[in-house]
Amino acid sequence: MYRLFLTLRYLRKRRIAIFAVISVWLCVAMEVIVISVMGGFLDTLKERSRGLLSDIVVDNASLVGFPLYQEFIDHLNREIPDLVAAATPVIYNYGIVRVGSESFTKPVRMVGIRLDEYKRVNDFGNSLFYDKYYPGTTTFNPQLQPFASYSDNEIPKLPPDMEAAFERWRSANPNAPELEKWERRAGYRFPGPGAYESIHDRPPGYYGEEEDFAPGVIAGVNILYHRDRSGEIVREVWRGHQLVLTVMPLTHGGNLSAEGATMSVVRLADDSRTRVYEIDSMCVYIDFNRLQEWLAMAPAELEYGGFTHARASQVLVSLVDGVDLKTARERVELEWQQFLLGWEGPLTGEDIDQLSVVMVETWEERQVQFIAAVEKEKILVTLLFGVISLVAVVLIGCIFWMIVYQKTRDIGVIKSVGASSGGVAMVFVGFGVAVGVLGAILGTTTGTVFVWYINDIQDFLVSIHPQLRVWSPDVYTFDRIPNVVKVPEVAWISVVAVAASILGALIPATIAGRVWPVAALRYE
Amino acid sequence: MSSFLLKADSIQKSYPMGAEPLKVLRGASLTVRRGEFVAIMGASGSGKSTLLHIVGALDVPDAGRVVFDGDDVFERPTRFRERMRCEHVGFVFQFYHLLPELNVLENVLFPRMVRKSVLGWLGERAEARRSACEVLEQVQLSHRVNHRPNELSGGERQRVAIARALVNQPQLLLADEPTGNLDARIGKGILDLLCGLHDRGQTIVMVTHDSRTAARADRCVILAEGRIKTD
Ligand SMILES: Nc1ncnc2c1ncn2[C@@H]1O[C@H](COP(=O)(O)OP(=O)(O)O)[C@@H](O)[C@H]1O
Ligand SMILES: [Mg+2]
Repeated sequence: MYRLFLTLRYLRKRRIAIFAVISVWLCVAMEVIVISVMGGFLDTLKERSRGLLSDIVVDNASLVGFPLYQEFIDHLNREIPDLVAAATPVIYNYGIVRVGSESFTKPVRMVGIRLDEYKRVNDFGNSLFYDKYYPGTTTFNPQLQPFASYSDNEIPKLPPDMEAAFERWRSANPNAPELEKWERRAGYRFPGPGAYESIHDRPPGYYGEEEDFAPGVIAGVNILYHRDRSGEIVREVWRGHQLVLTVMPLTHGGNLSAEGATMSVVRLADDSRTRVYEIDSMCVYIDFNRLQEWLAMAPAELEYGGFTHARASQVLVSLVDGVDLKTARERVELEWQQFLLGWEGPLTGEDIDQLSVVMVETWEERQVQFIAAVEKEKILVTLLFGVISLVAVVLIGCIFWMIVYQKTRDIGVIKSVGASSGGVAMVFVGFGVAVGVLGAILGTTTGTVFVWYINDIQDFLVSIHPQLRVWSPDVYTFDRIPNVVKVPEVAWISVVAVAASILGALIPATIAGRVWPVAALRYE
Repeated sequence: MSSFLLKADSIQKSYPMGAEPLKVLRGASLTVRRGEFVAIMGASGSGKSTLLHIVGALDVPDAGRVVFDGDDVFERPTRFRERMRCEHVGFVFQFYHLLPELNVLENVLFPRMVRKSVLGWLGERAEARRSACEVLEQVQLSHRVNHRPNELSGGERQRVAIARALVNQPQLLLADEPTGNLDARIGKGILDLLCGLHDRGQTIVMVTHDSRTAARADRCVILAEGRIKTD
C-alpha cells in the first residue's frame, strides 16, 4: 500500500516531476501528430492511386506496348464475367504540350483512353471539372470553343446545350455550395466554369470553320493552372482553348519511326484533378484510337506482307464488388496464360517478345514503389521523433535520479520501518508509470485535438501572415491537411511512452532500492 | 517463553578506513529482558549507534549473533528482518527522521501501511487510524495530526517519531539519543514519556551519552573499546 501512497504523494509534492510529465506529454503529442498526418497523407495517396489505376493492371512496362489487348479483354469478358466488371486498354507515352499561340511548352505524359470505359474502371470521371458542372459535355470528339455572351439584361449566357447541361447539374444539386459563387449578375462575366470569352454582338454559341474543329483532350489540372494562396484553382485558359501536342511515334520494333514527331492541334475539353500531383502535373488524356494512330500503334500493313497487330500499353481491369483482389489477380493471370496458349493467329517475333513480359498486378503491387517511398518516409520520421523521445527517457532518468538523491534519507527511514529494497524500487517505478500515464493521456489528448483542428490552426496562422502557410495546396494538391487520428496507433504510442517512462525510472529506482538504511540515517 | 527478549552475543563490526579497518565493535554482548529499560552509554564515536542498528536488524554485524525473541536474526532470510523491523522493533532516531511530504498522522500510519496490500489496507484503514490516534494521544499530539513535520518544534517531532515507532505495538523500542538534539526541559519531557511507556511494560533500549538521562533507566551499560563494560 505504501508504494501507491508514496508514489502519489511524491507526484504531488515533487514539483520537478512535472517536467518529466511535460517532456513525456510533448513527445507523445509530437508522435501522435506526426503519425496521424503522415499516415493520413499515405492513406489518401493509396486511396487515390487505387481510384486511378483500377483493381488489376496488365502491362509490360514498355512504351512499345503489347498486341492482342482487345482480344484479351474479349477473352476476359467471355471467360470470367463473374469476376470482371469492366476492362479497358490504355496507351502511355510522352509528349510536349504547347498552349495555343503562346510559347509556353511543357513535357507531358500522354494517356490514350476510351473515355467511357475508362470512367467505368476507375474514379477518373469524378476528377473532371466541366464534366461535373456540365454533365455529358466532355468529349474527345473534334470540337469548337464555346462562346458566352450577354443577354439583353446584361446577364451572361452560355450556348444552349451548355445551359441545358448546367441546369441538369443544378437541379440535381440544388444545395451545392458553389451555386452561390456562380450566381450570374448583370454586367459581370460569368465567373463559374465556362467563363468563356464574350463577344457582345453575337449570341452565345460555337463559331468556326470546318478547319477550326480540333479533337478534345483532357489536361491534368496542374499542367495549365496554378492555385492561389487559398488553394483555389485559377483557370485562365478555358474550355475549347487550342493546344498543340507533339508526340514521338515508335515503330513496332521500338525505334523512333521514320516519319518523326507528329504535331497536332487539339482543344481543351476538360481538366482532371485526381489530387495526385504526379498525375495532375503530367497527364494529358486523349482518345485511345487517335493516340494509337499518332504513335503508330494502330494496325499497319507490313512491307513484306501481312499486318502488325494494334498495340496498347496497358489493360485496366475492374472487378465485381466483393471479389477478393489477390484471388482475382491469380485468376486473371491464369486467364492471360490460357489466352496466349489458345491464340492461333499469326505472331511476329516482336509480338512474342512484347507478350512474354506482360505482367498482371494488383493496384497495390503496382503502386508499391511510389507508396513504399512515402511509407518509408513515415517510418523514418516516426523513428526520428522516437529518437528525440529518448531525450525524454534520459530526462526522466535525471529527474528521478535527483529525487532519489534528495530522498536518500527518507528511503532509509522507509526501509527502517520494514520496507524491502524491491518495494522501495517499486515506488519509483510506480512513479515512472504515473509520469508515463499522465504524459500519455495529456499527450494523446493534445495531439488528437491538434490534429483535429490542424487545418483551422493553419487557417489562423495564414490569417496572421500568408507566409505562415505550412501545407501549401500548390505543392501537395491536397486541399486540407489529413486530420484523422487512428486509435491503434495512438494506443501504441501511449504504451511506448509508459514503457519509456518506466525505462527512465529504472536506474534511479534500482539505486533507491540499494540505499543502505543506516548510511542514510546516521546524519541529519 | 524465555525471559530474554534480546540477546546480542560477541558482536563485531568494522568499517573500512584506509589501510587499517576501523574496528568499532569488538565483541559487544548485551542481553535485554522483557519489560526492561536499558540505557547504553559511551563516548561519542564509541559505536553505540552501530550496536543499536545491529540489534534492530538495520545493519549487519561482521561476526556474532543477535537472538530476538528466540530467533537468530541474521540466520533468517531478509524477509524476516524486514518483518522484524516493521512489526517487532520501533526505532527512534536522534534527528527524528520524519517523512516531510507526509503529515503527522500519515507519518504515524506509515509503518502500518508497509506490509499491507492496497486491498488489505482498505480493509484495515479505520482500525489503523484509530490506533494511530491512540498513540498520538499517548504522546500528547492529538491536536496536531494534520500538521507537516516542518511546522512542528523539535520536541514535537520527536514525539511523532515515538508515536511512529509505537504504532505497530513493537516488542522492543530502540531509541538512539532521543533527547540529544533537544534542550534539557524538552528532553526531560521525552524522557518522561519513555519512562511512562516503560511503566506500562514497554521494553526499551536507549542510547545516550548523558549520565543523568541514563539514570532514568532500570539498568545502564557502558560501551567502550568496542565492548559492553558494565552489565
Ligand atoms: N559507514 C561508516 N563508514 C565508516 N565509518 C563509520 C561508518 N559509520 C560509523 N562509522 C564510524 O564508526 C564509529 C562509531 O560510530 P557510531 O556508532 O555512530 O558511534 P556513536 O553513536 O557512539 O557516536 C565512529 O568513529 C564513526 O565515525
Ligand atoms: Mg550515535
